[in-house]
Amino acid sequence: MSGLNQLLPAARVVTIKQIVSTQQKTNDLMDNFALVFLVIIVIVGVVSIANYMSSNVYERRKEIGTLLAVGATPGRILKMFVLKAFILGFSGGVLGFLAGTGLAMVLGPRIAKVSVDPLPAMIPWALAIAVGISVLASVLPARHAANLDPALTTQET
Amino acid sequence: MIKLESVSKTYRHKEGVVHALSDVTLSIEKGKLVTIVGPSGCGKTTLLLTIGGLVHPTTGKVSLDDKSVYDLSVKGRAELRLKRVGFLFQTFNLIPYLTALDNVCVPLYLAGKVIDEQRKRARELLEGFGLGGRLEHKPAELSIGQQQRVALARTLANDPELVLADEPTGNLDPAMTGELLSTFRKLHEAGKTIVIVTHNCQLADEGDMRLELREGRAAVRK
Ligand SMILES: Nc1ncnc2c1ncn2[C@@H]1O[C@H](COP(=O)(O)OP(=O)(O)OP(=O)(O)O)[C@@H](O)[C@H]1O
Ligand SMILES: [Mg+2]
Repeated sequence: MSGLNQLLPAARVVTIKQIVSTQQKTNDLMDNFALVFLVIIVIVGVVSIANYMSSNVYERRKEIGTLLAVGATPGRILKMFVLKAFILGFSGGVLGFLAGTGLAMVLGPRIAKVSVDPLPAMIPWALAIAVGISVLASVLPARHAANLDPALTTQET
Repeated sequence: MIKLESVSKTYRHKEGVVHALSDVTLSIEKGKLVTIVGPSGCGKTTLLLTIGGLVHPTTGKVSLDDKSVYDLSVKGRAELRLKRVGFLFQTFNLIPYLTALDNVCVPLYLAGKVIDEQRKRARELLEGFGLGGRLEHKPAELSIGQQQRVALARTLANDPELVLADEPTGNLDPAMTGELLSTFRKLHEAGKTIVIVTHNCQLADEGDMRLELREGRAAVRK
């Protein structure tokens, strides 16, 4: 190898093996980046959805109290908010997948000079993660809503 | 039959404790119309909420047809409020983003009725109260008297045997008060047990029994 490089001073000789291993390192780095981003996105997602749900429960506490007072069971209220989280997560997942794929297809060639193809196989993952995050983040606010005092509705104006 | 045995309710507040009800014992027979009167703050609303399964008394026992209301599970009490007790709130408490029709559908929906049945029953009740032309109105688009009739329709949706009303004439003019009075009379004739908190003398005299509350203590008059 070094002999070859001396014989051909104007060139740089590398083996296929070296190329592959460099490429592999780059790929590993990108994978790790992607994982770090995913973790950050999950955390940001959980925090912001939990925050949204809590303030939603707070704003609606009087109506929740009314529902409990006219005879909704706490389980019913819990289900209502979990369903809401499910719908929120599902539609967020669909929108996010479409927007993300579209953006990657447009920007990929321009910025990184790589062409990006849609990955339909990722759809179930995108939806599962989005719904999972949304429901997980909503469990505590939903339980809080379910345990509100039904007499609340008569006390505040 | 409603039975209260030595019922007391103490609210704890940062400014100190409030004895809203002190040792109230009374029984109300099925089909009676009972009115509760007394000065502001004497515990009328608290008494009504306690009877309706909404406020846990600090001590004492409340029973409906010999079943202790506060020994039921949370779910059991929700079921009781849904099927057997109708509560007409002082401030109506309609859901602001639902139409009049949908507001009346809420207890029907919770009771597991199918949508067609819900709408049919809700429409009947609202039309009976002269609100046939206001089915799709939101509460904010209705007058106070109309909002109250929507609330009353919701109260009666599941045909409860016990109707509890908290100062129903508070915001009404004499003509509307008269109308509401005749509605309560009809419900009374239909055999429902009715308990009404009121400041209105005419309404107060309407009942089979009048209960006077003073600083959380009850006395039966009449
Ligand atoms: N959630 C609460 N926390 C603390 N104190 C309360 C609460 N609800 C009621 N009280 C107190 O209990 C007492 C009785 O209240 P209640 O609402 O039963 O009176 P009321 O007879 O219905 O009065 P009004 O005629 O003005 O409606 C009042 O002194 C009130 O301040
Ligand atoms: Mg009151």
